Amino acid sequence: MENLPVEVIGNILSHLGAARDVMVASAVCRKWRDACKRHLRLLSFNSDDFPRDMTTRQLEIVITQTIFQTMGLQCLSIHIDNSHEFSAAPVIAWLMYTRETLRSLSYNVRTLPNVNILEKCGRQKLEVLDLDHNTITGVEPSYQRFTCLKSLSLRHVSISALDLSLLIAACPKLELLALDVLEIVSSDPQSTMELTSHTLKSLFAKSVGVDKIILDADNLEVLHLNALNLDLFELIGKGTLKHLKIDDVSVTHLDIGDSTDHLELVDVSNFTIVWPKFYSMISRASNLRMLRFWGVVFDDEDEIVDSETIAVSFPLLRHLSLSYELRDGLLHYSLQGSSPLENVSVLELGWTVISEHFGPWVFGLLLIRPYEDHLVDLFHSFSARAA
Amino acid sequence: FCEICLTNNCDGSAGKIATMIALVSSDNERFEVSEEAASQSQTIRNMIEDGCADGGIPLPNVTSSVLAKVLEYCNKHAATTTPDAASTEAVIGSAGTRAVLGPARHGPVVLRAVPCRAAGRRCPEGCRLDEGQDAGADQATFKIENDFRPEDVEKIRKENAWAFEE
Repeated sequence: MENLPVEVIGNILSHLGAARDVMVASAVCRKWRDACKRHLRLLSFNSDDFPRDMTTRQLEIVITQTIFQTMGLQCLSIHIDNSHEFSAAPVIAWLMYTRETLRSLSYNVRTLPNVNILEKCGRQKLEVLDLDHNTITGVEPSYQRFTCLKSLSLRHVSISALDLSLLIAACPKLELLALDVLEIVSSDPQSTMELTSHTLKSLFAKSVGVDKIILDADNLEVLHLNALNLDLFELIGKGTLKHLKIDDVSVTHLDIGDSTDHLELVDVSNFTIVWPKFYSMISRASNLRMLRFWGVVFDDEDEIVDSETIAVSFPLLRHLSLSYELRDGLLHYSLQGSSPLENVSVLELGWTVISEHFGPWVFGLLLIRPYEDHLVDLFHSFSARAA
Repeated sequence: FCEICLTNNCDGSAGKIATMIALVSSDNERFEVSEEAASQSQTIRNMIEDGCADGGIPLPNVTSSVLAKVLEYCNKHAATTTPDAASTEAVIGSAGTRAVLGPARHGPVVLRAVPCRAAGRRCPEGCRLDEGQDAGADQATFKIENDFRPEDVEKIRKENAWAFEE
């Protein structure tokens, strides 16, 4: 241990994370103290590490003192429960102090008055930015470029559609974008969000208060939409999408492009499906491995979902999950032809009501292919679709 | 003691020349070790088995001073590693480096740091650190001498009183 270089000790202690443990480690011996001082890469402040009765001001002091006992910090994480609201001065001090070296910032505390984190934090090296309970205004792409940012996560953030668009454009290497409960500040009654990123691989959008989203992303692989109420969602891309997940979304016009050849997973829940339109959207996904329709409603009373069509369009399908309101003939079984859906090894069926259609539905599906060798999951789903 | 198979009870089956593997530290110093000694690292063993070890294995996360210590340990224990030995060791992880604290059975604590991410391979098992212990416990576990003056320790404890409560 005495021969271990101080940088290695710093590297190892960087895995402690919790600030309390780091401070304790710094009292072990001079070398460890030096390691914490000059070679600590990661520091994390979490509500759980502090006594419940610690006041906000005390927290600010502790965080300030601890951060200022380090040099060259690369990852800073501050997660304090909702009851606290930090004042701007210490937060600005923490961001300015770590500006030159910070690669990852995760901060979830309300600040009063609001601090423009994008302006204050280091931009050249930042790779991960995770903000919660913050207001973002006045994005200036001309001098605010996040040249290394790969992952951006905004939760409970208030921002205008234009600023968000400018922000994404200022991140030339962005790969992951998560928008979670965004309050879109807009002067325009018909608010549209237009985002362009040719490096983006994954988008998660939940509870974003806009009417239209237009996403220009040539390399998008994962799209996850949740709790949205839209007139339009349009994805302009080059058919690279692999995962499509839609949950509790209401959208009048959904367009994910024509070339969906690379789709491997389609997971739709709590959604109204217009089958002919939806099917034409995914019909070319010959690589589809998983198809899930859960708690969906089929729009047209006369629609028939043909299992033969599913089997032919998705020959590599391994996982099929179905749970929807049963109607006579809704899922039409064609028992002719050789063993359709022969690769399906997981079949999940869910229902909320056992009606007269139930028996034929379940057994019809079970008869589509012999399942003796595989497990079939049948379970009763009580959850009703949220209004 | 047989220098070839590194055991005291050589049965002569290692009459073949022991294969030597070259490990290259971050400051470009080459260390020649027997394949058996180097194979104590699962990562390096994988590389040898996959035939990636020709021309030397680069260890960009390890300086020559650390590597020299590591190899001293490995050469000592190449033929004596048993499953029991592993259970008395504490494993510390860091990004790309795996430091193993040997037990005190051979005298002073010896540290072994072997990169886990050579050639993109992941560490076979998780790395964990003894958390939640106080400074005294750390000193006892790792047999570290507390070289602080009493007033220095007092200063640290006072400045960061919140961390030393309970």
